[in-house]
Amino acid sequence: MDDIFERFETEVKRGVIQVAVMCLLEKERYGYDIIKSLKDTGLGIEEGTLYPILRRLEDEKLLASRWVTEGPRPRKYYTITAYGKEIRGKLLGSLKSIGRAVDRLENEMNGVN
Amino acid sequence: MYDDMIDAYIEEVTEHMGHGQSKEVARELRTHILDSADALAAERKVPVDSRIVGEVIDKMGPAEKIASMYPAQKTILDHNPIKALLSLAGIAFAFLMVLLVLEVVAPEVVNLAIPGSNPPQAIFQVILSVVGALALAILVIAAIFLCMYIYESRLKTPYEARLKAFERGLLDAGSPLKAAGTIIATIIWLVLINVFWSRIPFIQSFTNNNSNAVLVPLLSDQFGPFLLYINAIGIAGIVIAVLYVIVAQKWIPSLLESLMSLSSALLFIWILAVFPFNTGLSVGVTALIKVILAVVVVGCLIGAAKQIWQAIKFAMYEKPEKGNAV
Repeated sequence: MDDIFERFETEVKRGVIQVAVMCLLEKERYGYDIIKSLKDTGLGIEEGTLYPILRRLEDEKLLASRWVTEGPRPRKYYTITAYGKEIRGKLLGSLKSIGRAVDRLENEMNGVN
Repeated sequence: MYDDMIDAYIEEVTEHMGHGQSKEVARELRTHILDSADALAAERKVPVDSRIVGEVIDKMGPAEKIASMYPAQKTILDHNPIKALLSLAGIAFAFLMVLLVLEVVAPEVVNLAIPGSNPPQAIFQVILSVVGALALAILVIAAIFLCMYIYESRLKTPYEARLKAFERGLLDAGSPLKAAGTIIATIIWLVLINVFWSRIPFIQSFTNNNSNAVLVPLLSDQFGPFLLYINAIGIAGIVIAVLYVIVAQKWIPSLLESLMSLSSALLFIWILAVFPFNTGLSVGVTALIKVILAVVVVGCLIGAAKQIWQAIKFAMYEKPEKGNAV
């Protein structure tokens, strides 16, 4: 049962994390900083999985990045692009409507029971 | 120390990446692991050591999983101008291959180096042929891409599972469905060729000046002796299809099938040597049919090689097929 729950949660989270990352990148951030913020908002993930997501979003021109080599370690900073903002708006709308639909279904289910 | 642990993890993640991507991913992951280790050590008020780094690496997730989540790196071949150039090169190569086959099977049509011919006229004909062949090739490729696009965008998702199951059924060597299809198709073409072979019409010439195309018989009495061999190959095909279903050792029918393909190749080479059966066919039509026969010979040889390889695989990894195998 735990396996089923974990698999389901991973599938749902995969999409949500992408939108969450796009929201966080209104301000320029680097990987570790993004993970901390995700954890603070209750969206903890396996830390390594963030980087492929960032790479994918960057390949799709939704994010832009630059390396900053000053400081103790080189860091890759990400920020959302104008195109990314447009897509983010649509994704947020879609997530909200899914949330409302799930709420309605839950209410119906409780009413029946 | 812990650097080795970090290196080993990063190496596992970046193992199958291209050089550029691997370098950047390694740099980013290393920074993250060290940042995270610093934070964890500070929280526990201890120095960074192997235990802390090990814990951070555990929180990163399995290296294989992370590696599989990265999108495939784009190579230079993925860029549109390079793709277009490659496509054009492919079309030119295909055209040259056709020209080469024509030169071998019907040199009179290619007419590239006939002594005493008028060079400008020969070159003009070749240019016209090249442009025509290229236009045809582009049309065919465009049609293929259109089909692929329609399949990808409209049909793939809803029907993917069903198509895969159907494909598995056809590919399964012992599939009764496949055997039935082969037997029915073989019986149909055997009946057709035995009954109608002397009446198969074919257009006499594609460049006939008359507005009405003239149809002539494709085959003459000279073709009669070949029927015996064609029937033998057809019956062998039916027997092999049945053997695939009833015999557990699939390498036996597979090997027989490769022998049948080799026999077919020899038969078509023989037919190619005797062709044309009807001298009424124009040079162009004869050449076209010879090219088709040559392609069939190559196809039979490729099929034979594939079946021999399949027989070897069956012999090495054979396990009894589910269903009707005995």
